[in-house]
Amino acid sequence: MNWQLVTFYILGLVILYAAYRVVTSAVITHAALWLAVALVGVAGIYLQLQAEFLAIIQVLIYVGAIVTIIIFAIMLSPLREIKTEEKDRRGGATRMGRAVASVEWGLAPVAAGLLFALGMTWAYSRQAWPVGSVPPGLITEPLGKSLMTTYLLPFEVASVLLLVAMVGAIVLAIRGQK
Amino acid sequence: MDYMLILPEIILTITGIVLILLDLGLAEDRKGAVPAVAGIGFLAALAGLGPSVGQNTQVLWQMYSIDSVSLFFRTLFLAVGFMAVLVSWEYARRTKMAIGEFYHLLVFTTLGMMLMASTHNLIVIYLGLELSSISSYVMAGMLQDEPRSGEAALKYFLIGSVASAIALFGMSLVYGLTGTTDIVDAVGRLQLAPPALVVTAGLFLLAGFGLKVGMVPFHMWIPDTYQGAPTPVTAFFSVGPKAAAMAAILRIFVLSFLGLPALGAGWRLMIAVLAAISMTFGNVTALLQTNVKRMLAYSSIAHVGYMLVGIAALPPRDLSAVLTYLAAYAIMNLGIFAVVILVEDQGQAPEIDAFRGLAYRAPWAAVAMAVFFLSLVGVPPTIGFFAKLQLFLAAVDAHMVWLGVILGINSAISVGYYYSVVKVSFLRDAEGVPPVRAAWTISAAVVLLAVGTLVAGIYSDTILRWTASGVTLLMR
Repeated sequence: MNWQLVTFYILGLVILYAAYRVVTSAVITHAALWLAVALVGVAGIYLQLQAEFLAIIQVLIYVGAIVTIIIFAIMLSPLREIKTEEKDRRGGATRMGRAVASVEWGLAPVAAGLLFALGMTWAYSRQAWPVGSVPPGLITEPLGKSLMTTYLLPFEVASVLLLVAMVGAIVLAIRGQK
Repeated sequence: MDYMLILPEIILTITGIVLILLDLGLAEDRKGAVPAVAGIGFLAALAGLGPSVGQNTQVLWQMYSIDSVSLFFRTLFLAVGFMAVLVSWEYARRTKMAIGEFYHLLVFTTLGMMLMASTHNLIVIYLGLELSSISSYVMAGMLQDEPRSGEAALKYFLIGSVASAIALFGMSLVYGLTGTTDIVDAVGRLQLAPPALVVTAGLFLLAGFGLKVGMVPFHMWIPDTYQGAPTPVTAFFSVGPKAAAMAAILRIFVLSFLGLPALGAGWRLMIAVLAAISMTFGNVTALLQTNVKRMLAYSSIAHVGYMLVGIAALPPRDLSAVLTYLAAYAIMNLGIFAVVILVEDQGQAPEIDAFRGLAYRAPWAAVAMAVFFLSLVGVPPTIGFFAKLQLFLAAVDAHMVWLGVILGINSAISVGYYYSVVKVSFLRDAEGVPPVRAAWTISAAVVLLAVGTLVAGIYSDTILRWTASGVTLLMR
């Protein structure tokens, strides 16, 4: 039995389920916590790929910083719960229509998601993937070097991207406060 | 020297950062300096293209391509950015948008589009896409008191994020199949990969970028976003991000997927069918609209269909038809939106009725509008005619006469809705509509673009010769 494959599938299921809960939770704090679970799962996959530095960074930055900030933001804002759901339930949609199209448990989204997951699992298991594994040893040094040479342009663009996202978030957040 | 070749990008980055700092330091009544600095930044970046002329190389560890195609797109985007400054100047002042942030985002969207259009590397394409998209989402929602603007931003954000995710997944498949993110390196290895997976990757890429250009069946976000966004932003969206996504489609598909011996014909046929549906859907739906912005949104879907004709017909011919059409579309569509903004600046909603008697209120604007509409339909001697003729010839050369015929029929359909606006502006009197008082910036933009539409039409063979040198240089 290939234990590596088994752990990969387990991690994959954990990530998928957590991601599903992120988009379907009615309470926004729960969504943020499920997001943390999904991100830890991704860190697990990095560990499996022997990218231990990336795994640590993933936990430190995404789980430690970003999810924490999201939770702070939720606490500071009046919006705790996504309230539109109740209105939808009472609204015009028929039971049949909801059974087919509801985002949480409707037949069409779940079936499409499952089909896609199965299809990709089949594709991944075809072993047509020439990407080699990382050579053993610490990856931190080659990672740092490539960021400053080969990937210098993407690295700089990413920093501009963050600046723009920050400015954009501020512009949208101050809406209506003038 | 590498850094001379990316001078325009460096200038734009500095301009963007200066703008946001300048906005902090300026008193409220001196904010007029902000668009001026943005305009100067765009002009300086255009001048900064000088060292890139005639170059054919890759800089920054093969991440950035300096070739004639990238020169074409960088020139186009910088010019579009500059025109966007002109058309938004008065509008931004009137609607009390957050000026500093608006021009900051405009500059960085342009930078993102330039990055997308001038690289062979999927990572840089993706980062450019995100840079331009994230700024675009915010720009769509800049009108603070306008719920429609917020709706536009939210719809654009949701659909845009899905599009990015889909495109990214396609890129990850290409990387998985080939072990490289460089499109040119990937070509040879894609031929060895299992066709089912190559098709999957290609479909994901086409769907992701198709959402960004707004081709059918990925067009559903376009009307609401275009209608709700501030009109100068709509003008910019309809030209800039569309051309950037088109550039990415060109690089990715021309270099790899269309060239695959077993699958190339299938891809071409699929793109041709999508082109036909986009044209017909856009034009027929536009006939039903009374809001000019919404009408032009559907018209833009039709124009994406025209451009796809050029891509479907690519292998026998070069890129010149598509590139010429992109340039022509940029000039004439910016022009028509400039007229819409001019009318809106008089305090009217952009309904067809607001154009009543425009020929008596501002004859020059009405004539310019007629020129833009003639060009959008494809009537000589405007640039729109020559560009569409190239697409038609390309379709015929590629043995897709049916596609050329659909293109012709669609041009005829489009007369219907373009004419409805021209009719009310020339044949209805101006009673009860305010006289036109235009700021010099918007007037300059209208006149410049109208002259451009005519002059480019007359010198179209020069433009063709310039764009015709494209396809060989696209390769390394």
